[in-house]
Amino acid sequence: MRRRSVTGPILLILLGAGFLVYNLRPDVEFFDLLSQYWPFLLIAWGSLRLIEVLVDYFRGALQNAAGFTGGEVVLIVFICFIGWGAFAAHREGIHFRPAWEAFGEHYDYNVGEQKPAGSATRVVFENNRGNLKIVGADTTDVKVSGRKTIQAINQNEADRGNDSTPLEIVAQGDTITVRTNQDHNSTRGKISEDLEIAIPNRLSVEVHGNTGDYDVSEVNGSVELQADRSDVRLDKIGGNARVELQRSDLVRAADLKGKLDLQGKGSDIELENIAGQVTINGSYSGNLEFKNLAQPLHFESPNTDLRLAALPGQISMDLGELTGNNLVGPVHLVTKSKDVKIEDFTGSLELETERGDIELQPRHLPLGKIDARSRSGQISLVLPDKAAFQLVATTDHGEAVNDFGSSIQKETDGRSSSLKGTVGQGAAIHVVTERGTITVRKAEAPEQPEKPEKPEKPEKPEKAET
Amino acid sequence: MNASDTNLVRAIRWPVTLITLGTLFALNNFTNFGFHQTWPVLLIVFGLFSLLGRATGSPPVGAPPSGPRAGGVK
Repeated sequence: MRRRSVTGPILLILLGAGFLVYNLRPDVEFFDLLSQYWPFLLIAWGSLRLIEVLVDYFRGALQNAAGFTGGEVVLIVFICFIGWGAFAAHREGIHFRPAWEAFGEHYDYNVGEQKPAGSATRVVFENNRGNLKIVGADTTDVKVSGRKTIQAINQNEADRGNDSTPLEIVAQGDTITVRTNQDHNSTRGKISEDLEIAIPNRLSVEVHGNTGDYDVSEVNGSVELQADRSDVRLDKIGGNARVELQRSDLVRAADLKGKLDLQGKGSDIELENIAGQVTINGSYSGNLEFKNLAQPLHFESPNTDLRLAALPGQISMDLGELTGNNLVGPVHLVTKSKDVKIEDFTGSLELETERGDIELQPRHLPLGKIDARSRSGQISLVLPDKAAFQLVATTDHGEAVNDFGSSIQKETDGRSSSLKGTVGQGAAIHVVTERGTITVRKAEAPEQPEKPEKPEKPEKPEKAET
Repeated sequence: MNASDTNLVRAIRWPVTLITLGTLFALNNFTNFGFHQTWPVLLIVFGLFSLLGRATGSPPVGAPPSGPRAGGVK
């Protein structure tokens, strides 16, 4: 007689243990762990069956054809699909909570705490879920006030949740830690805290959180933010800022005196008046606006690599387009598929786009070296009247249109055509497209570049600074 | 012995496949090898079992039932 498999009972024990953990340790994100570790269930199951088979075999009691039943196969396929989906969601930052946890009502509690900062130099915030508004002021205390929202079935449970998660301000060494202790929640309800914090403006700020929007302003120290999903606003920061977000809809930084280092995935970025170097590394799918950056910018995403020495003007960028005005080179831009339009830049320009039109309109004289390439797209070059340059513009398949004048000659060879010309002792301008029209023309009327500093007194282009 | 080997191969086929499947998904979750890259391993495992099944020889009809090593056991 065939022994009954031990797999069933063991799985049952595991299931019981799992639910026990789930009930007794609310701080363990059980379903979140399950979404990652479920493949080991399959391995365990397979191993158990294997051991059974081998034991039977060596006892000489192996019965005929111990395959899996149809039900088991269906169950395995089912686990694979669910697990696959759960893991995909986990990777996207969606944290699993079973449906029954979403019920209940929201209960609000006021929270507040105040503590003198003493000689501390930095303040650390640990708030898993909820928004933080941190404002530096001329004060000596760290003062926290706000609201805690607890999701619970009834007031009693909400109270229990509230009691288990007291807001703490702990001073230790040079660090003051503001802790909301949401991970100590003894109930299963979701807790989030929206806090307003006033701190002495000399402090540095560090925030570690899961989800929530962070708003930091008027802080003279450095700022460091880390979160899974968050929108960030930085305003009037004296030190360096470092922002690391798994996902964001908006990151806005204005009036920073230090460096800005931004990493992660997200949508929109707005940067304005940043005195230090700006480094952005990540992928951003929305609108990116950069304005008035005094130091080099380095933007690196899977599709685009942009470096420039400074940006007195502005750059707007989205997935399909980059428009720039008043850039200080050397400018280096490599991008996969964007239309690029750059007006008014100094220094050299190196530009490469796979698919996209290029429009360049340098206004500052003397011109810097220009090297622009597109795999497929039109290139249009608008040069100042008095510019000196050595131009070679080539298209492999397409038209070349000379609207500049007689100093540029057009050559056609089969399907390729090119424009060549030398005016004075100028920098080399090299423009290539594999497929598309190339146009070179003169800027209409002597352009008078408007300096943002003194818009009333435009300088003449030939006197323009380099 | 022969029939018993055949039985063993048949019996471990599903557990081993299941372990392989679990391992591939674990790799998918914790390393850079995605399941979309590693799934051919499953084909290889199926193939190996098919070969093993042949090597241990499901004896062809008419073969002597307890012949000495008819399929050449490895």
